[in-house]
Amino acid sequence: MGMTITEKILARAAGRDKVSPGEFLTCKVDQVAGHDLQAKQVLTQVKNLGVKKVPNPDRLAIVFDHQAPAHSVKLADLHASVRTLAGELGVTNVFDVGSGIMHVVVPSEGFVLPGEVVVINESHAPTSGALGAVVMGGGASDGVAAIVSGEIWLVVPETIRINLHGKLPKGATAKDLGLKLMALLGYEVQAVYKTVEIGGPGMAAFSMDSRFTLTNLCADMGAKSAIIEPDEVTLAYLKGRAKRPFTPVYSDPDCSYSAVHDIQLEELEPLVSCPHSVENVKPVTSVAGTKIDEAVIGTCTNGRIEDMRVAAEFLGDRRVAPGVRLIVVPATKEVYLEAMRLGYLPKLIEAGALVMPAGCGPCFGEHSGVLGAGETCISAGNRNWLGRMGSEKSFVYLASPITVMASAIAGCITDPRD
Amino acid sequence: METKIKGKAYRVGDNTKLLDVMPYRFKNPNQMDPKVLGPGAFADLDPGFAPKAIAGEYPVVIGGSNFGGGGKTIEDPIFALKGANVKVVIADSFARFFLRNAINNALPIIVCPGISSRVKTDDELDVDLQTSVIHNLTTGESFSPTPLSDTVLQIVAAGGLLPYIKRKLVAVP
Repeated sequence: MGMTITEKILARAAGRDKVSPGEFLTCKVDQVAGHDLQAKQVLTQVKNLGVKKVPNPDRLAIVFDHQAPAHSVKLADLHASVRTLAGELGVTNVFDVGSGIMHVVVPSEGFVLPGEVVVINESHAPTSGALGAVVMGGGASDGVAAIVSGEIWLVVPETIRINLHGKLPKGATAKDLGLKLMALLGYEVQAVYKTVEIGGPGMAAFSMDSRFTLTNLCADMGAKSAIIEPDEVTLAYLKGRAKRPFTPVYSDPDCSYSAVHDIQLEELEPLVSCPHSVENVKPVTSVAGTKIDEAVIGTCTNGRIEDMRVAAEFLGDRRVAPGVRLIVVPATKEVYLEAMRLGYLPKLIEAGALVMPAGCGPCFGEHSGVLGAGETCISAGNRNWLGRMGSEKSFVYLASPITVMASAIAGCITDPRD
Repeated sequence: METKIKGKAYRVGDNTKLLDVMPYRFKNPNQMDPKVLGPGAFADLDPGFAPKAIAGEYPVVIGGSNFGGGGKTIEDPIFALKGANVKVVIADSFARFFLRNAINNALPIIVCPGISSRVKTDDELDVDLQTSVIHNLTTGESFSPTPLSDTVLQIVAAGGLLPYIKRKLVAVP
């Protein structure tokens, strides 16, 4: 019997011909990445092991994204100590404040390639699996072990396969598909410890940006990793970016999945994830008219150039409603500059949007754009638990960039098809 | 490594999140010291737990499904449990980051589907980490879930992933 793409990648990395779900393996790691809030612990522990210089600096990236630029003395001191440690240990790939969100910077700089095994110190690691790699999150210890030994212990996951059929109707986007999958598999229910493999005839029409949105949302389903087999779209994206040669891997036709779901894309409509759980997904029509105070277009879910473009195009000649803070956060400096040059950011700013430096922005409520008691936000992000963006008396709805834009213009949650 | 653990169980319900195990406000960016973090163990869920646990009353924590979930990767709650003198966590199922972070920091775990409906807080338990066999001495029931792998047991015996790695680094001439 054949193997899935994930099983094949892990088998190759473990030096084995065949592996099955449930097996413990030790796999070679091709790339490690960490961010500003974990890097001090990770690099300090690397030093404490007696390591003078990280063995493979070209296979490690540190990105300052969560609270960047620093908003307090404590954070500024933390950032300074990370820079010092990185310098001492010979870490060369330091993406400092303003570079963007780790889960978007790392793949766009070519550090994640088809067929690779990647360990990233943050929960939305599965995002980069859209490139056909096994990308897993881990705590500080896993990061240290991967940096120092170049290996990681793991359990081969079962795979849930999603087959996409047909085409998205007008008004529905990859984000809406992702929210539908979240409702289908549950928030940390069916996908816990599994890998979600998304493909089928409908995938070919999805841009790389849209694919990253899909794998990103699998993280909150509790999945170990999420993956999309590489095709021409993937290879076109990687041309000129890939840091090293790669060998793509594909699922065998006779591989085994723990579950298979077929999705007819035509059945999708604009959806919203309602407070206070990501799986509380409803059609936007059922919550239309809910007044909002803040709107966010950005995050590792929907902060890429495609998201900037659709938001600016949807805006047209209209303006942000009075009383609404529309915060736009390009996911990387590259996206920021491109959105500037193409006129998307100037247009959004003229219409009343606030643009933040590339980074995680308001998403997790510990930087700027925090919500106060009684406030409501509609965000293109991926988490809306109680108090996620600030006050435990605030409300967060999750939606696609065009649904967020439509709502920012109207001052209340609005169906983008209206 | 203590491979046999005997003592009272403390049971929590399904979907006990990582931040229920230890609220975020106890986190210190500079270090993860069990002595400092112990008082944070289950601090919001049950403020009475930590003082009793630190005194040695609850070496076994029993969880329901998806123990330690909520998507956070931080390891501090593991150290809070260690500081609260918890010697093993047994649950119906674990969230991935909790399972990894526990083993990596030498806090033994056992996956035992159904355990949370067969054990109550204050039941006396007897646990063998090598075989994963669990006896509930209060009810007389026994459980034989899938044992941990040799690698995992070695990592825990070494004191965690980093000491395990360190030994391997030293072994290479």
